[in-house]
Amino acid sequence: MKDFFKKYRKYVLGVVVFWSVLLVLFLVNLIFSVGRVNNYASENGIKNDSTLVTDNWSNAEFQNLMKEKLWLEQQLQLAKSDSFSIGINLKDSIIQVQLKGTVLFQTKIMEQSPARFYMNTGKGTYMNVFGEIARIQSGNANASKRPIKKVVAPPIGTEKPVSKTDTTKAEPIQWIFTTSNQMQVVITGVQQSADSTFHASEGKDLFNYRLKNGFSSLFSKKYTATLYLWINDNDAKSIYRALPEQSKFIFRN
Amino acid sequence: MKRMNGFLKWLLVSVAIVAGFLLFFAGNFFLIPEIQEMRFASAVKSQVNAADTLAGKDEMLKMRKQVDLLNVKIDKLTPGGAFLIINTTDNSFRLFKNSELIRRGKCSTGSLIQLEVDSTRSYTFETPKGALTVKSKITDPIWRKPDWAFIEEGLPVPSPNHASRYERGVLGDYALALGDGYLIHGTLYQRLLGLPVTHGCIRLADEDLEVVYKNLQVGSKVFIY
Repeated sequence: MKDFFKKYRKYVLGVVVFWSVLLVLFLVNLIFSVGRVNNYASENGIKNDSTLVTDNWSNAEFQNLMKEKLWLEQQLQLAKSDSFSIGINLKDSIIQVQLKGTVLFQTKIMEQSPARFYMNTGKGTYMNVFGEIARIQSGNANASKRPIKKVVAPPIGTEKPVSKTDTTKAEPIQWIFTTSNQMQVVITGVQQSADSTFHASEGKDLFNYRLKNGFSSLFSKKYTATLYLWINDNDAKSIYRALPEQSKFIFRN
Repeated sequence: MKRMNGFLKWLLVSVAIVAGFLLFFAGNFFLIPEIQEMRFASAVKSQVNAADTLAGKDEMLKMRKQVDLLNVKIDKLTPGGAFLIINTTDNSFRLFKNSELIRRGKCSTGSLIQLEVDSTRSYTFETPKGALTVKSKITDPIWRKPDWAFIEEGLPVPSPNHASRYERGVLGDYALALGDGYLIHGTLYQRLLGLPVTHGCIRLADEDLEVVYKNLQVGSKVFIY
């Protein structure tokens, strides 16, 4: 072993220096990344606060009732609008679309990550972030909201070409949107597998998502709390196409 | 032997460099986001105030009453009587009566084809979305063919009241008008139900159409998304 190091000292040192540089870069990125989380928390009124003695927020049942009350009040407010809106209810694991006070449909959340999103927050934090109805500010998906197909009218006297309905299975949808209360939601559609079951490949999807967005997050100056949800693909596409670009958004956990 | 040693040397260095990069990117792409999530979870976590864990009975009761009242208000917003919900992505329908689901099935909605006639004129075959109401109910509906029905066939467009505009038997036994020319009606093309193939109207199978027709009244809500 000694002889090995003696003989290849130059190269071993070179590799060690190279790895050390990478380690330092990693640690620097780690420090800045954690700093970004702290900035996000302070910008969005997230405080590690203790609850007021008179508030009862730390009583689990009372807290649940207060959140339920807020959720229902927001639905009543949304009912005044003529627009579709989306609600994410992590307590009951559902996503719903509503219009004028009527819940048009609900779909079960198959998987979510992180398992505890904004859990155990103080009342101040919860109200700061979810107290007002939010809006979807920006989003993108691998599907179109209105997949219009252009067809040229045949000249008079010619036969109409036979149109084929495309029945090929489209890929599962992945829809990413950011809300006005500074959270990001990533909804991934889960298609029925060969044995007619639905199985969300949470780990694989998260891996692929982080791989795809790794470089952009490396150079990103901002952190955004992200919620990953897996739902039935047909329902995910229905929700995506139902909602206008900047629809209203409510949330509870 | 010397050559072998040289090759091994460079192989080991290359492997070390590649391994270093892989670990570096793995750490940045996967480990750092996990650490960020952990840091975020601890940032939002509130310190529990032990003295505050018991809420008074009166306060609890008051809060429950408020929640119950809100639930009643929300329930009142859902239409009483019968209403229909159409999913244009899935091409399916659900019929409700007094908030109970009484029928569901396949339908056909707009094909999302944009028929381009010339540079200034086109028709988009899309089912409108939103909360519509039934404007009228028709039995044995006759289809009055609009201009696009001729244009898309490569036929000359006849005058507004020409006999060729009127076709019987293609809309099924019943139709419900939703306004602006959109109808819920039957179809000869039952095998296409479940597919987006219409010019904007909603097509139902014969049995489904009969149930929908008999349950919806003029003024009943039809939600389309």
